Amino acid sequence: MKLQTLAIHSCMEEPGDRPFVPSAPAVEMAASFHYRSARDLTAVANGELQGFVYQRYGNPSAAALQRQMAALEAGDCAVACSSGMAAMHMGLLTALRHRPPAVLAANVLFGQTFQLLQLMEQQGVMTRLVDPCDLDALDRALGRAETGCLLLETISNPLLRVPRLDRVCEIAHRHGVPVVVDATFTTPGLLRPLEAGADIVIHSATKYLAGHADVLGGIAVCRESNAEYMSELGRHLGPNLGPFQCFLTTRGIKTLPMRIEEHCRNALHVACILERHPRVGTVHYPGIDSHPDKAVAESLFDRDSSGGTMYGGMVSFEVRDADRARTFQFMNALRLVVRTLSMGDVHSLITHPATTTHRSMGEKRRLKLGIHENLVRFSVGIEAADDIAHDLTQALESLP
Amino acid sequence: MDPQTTLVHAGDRRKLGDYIPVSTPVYASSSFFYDTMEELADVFADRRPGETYSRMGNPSARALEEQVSALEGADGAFATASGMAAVHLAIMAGLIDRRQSIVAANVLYGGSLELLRSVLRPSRIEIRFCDFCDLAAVEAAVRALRPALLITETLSNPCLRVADLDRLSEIAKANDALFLVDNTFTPLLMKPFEHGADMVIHSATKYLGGHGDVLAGLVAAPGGHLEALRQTHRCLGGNLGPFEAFLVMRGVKTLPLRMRRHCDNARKVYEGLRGHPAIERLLFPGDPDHPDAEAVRRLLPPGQAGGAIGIDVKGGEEGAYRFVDRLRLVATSASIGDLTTLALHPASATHRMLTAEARAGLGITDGLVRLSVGGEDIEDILADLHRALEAV
Repeated sequence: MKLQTLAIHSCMEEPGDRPFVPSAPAVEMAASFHYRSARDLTAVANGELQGFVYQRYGNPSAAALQRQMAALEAGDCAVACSSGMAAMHMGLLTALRHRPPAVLAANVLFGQTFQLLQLMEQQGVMTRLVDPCDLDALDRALGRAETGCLLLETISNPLLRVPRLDRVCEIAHRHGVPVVVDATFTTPGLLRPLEAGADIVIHSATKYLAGHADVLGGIAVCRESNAEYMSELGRHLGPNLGPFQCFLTTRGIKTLPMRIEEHCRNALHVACILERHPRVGTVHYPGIDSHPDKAVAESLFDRDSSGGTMYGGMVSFEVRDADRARTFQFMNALRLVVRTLSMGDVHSLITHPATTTHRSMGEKRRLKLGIHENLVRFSVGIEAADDIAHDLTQALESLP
Repeated sequence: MDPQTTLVHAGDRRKLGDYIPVSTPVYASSSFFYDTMEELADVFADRRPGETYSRMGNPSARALEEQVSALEGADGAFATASGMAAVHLAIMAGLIDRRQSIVAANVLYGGSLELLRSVLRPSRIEIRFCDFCDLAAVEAAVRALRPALLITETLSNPCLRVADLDRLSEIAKANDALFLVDNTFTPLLMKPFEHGADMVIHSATKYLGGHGDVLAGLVAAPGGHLEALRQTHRCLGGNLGPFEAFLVMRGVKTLPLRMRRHCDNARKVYEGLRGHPAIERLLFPGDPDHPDAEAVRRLLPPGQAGGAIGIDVKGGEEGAYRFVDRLRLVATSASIGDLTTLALHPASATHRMLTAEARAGLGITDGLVRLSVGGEDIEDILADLHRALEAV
């Protein structure tokens, strides 16, 4: 089945003996499930009988979302988590099982992910960094020291570099190293990392998956080989996604493929306008000719339903010759676009990485990576493209 | 102020615009924004209070955190997606920049034992289990290991031994270890911070939520530990959703009434079943001959020994199954602390992974049934228990 069909149908379970099927999965609030017979409860707990025992071990609302995401990612098992960070933690612990306590991580990642890696250092998990767009450097880094797993994002945050994921996975596997991929920026709407060879896929469901700025959630997806351990970790660590959040995320994912197409169309439109604007400096968008990874994006990402190339819904750009104050002045002048964190929402929103998402990494590293004070990260919404572009240009032109 | 008053007010009534909602709204928003970027940057840099992103803090969760902080007499609290996420958060925050080692009670909840054994031990954290009712053994283990943390539950599960928090916290303090106490079985009844605890953990799925309709947890702590908890919580991201926070908060408002009823009913079950010919022994902290009677007098309010009771029926597993399966009002469930009376056979459920010898060592006999006494009328509960006991 095609992605949009899977998105709509895969959350539902087989009707079985029931003469009816509900049109949407239930918000199942029960913390525990009561049994008539003590033997049945034990049999279910032992996995000998189908059923639910206790919400943390599994529940119908999470099961619906997990079915849906496993289908969309072409994986065997998905675990819904209370946040993207919780999913990241579970993914890393799964990948590092029986492996050396060493992570080789992409040098540009979401700021909080670096802090999680730092926290894991407390238990002796050491992190080295590498540029995943430099395949030779990656190969050398993997050969140089024992590596437990490789961690990267499908599109880097916030500079939107696109590593050649299939090649990255190939090289990592040649070294026997499992690959953990944060696919929050691409979603299965653009790319299924497991198909490209990755071992574990992480999503902040808060972003495109739920898509409506009303859920904090995360999802980790893996293949059969890791399924049992990852599910077990979910039960032991207990970062469960609540039933309302599961329901809202499932509901959001039903429109994911069509939303992603619109996000991508709008983003390309906006990027082209920004690139020509005299008050804009560097524009980072994989769909414009000046971007170093345009060809990579074209080879990795799906085409939209009318055959158009998709490059993602995020555009980062610099306000030309601006310091922080002038950059804020531009952002404050926006009327439609929301100034906040997060991304992937139906509405357009803009973020200032240096003071928010990438604040904790410190100025020195930010500058080294090219995250300047005048850089803004723009999550292009599904409003009409002209309205979005108009708000950006009026704010740019309002600058003195 | 009496907790019965505090808990219906704490956390609520934050001004929103020019009006004040009487109960805290469900803030489903993932992120928050301001009129200007300067304000957002100030909030991010901790120069002014405010919300930014729900993983960092959410007004619905904060209201609950304030309420539970008042309940425990803490300076702050963090709401988590489950009781296990709370245990995990407290441990990981407590281990920061300290020896990666823990001394834990050997009778912790099965999920906590699994976390320590299956996840933390393979993550190069040294774990030693010991009998926390044997203070000499605890002291010896702590002297030998010099752990960063001691972790216990107020009442052991399912045998309902009572941890002597005063003595245990002395041992922890003397050896520079933090003392983590899981107060899930005895909210309101025990105040672990008054007995030397450094962090208090709750599975709010149980008595705090109280209605069997929400999975949640909390960690409460004094000021000195809040920053470590905050930073760790942000990284691990085990956040509680706003709908769930709302429901737990709603539950806590009736906690004083419910706990009183749970305790009264449990005591009456104990009195009503004492000497029953089908029962081998009753495990209840309110029993005057309970092995921890002295600690019970010191740590629990008079006449309030919690809402759980262990019923060891004759006939081993067969007897226990016959008893449990004949219950009509009382449901078989893995949880506790609901308004509904719940029964569980630990040997084949929560503690089924242990060997028969290991179970015997912990006092978990094959005939033992854990009863979480609900809030129903005591006559109906007793009638159901008596009828089912006839089958044994």
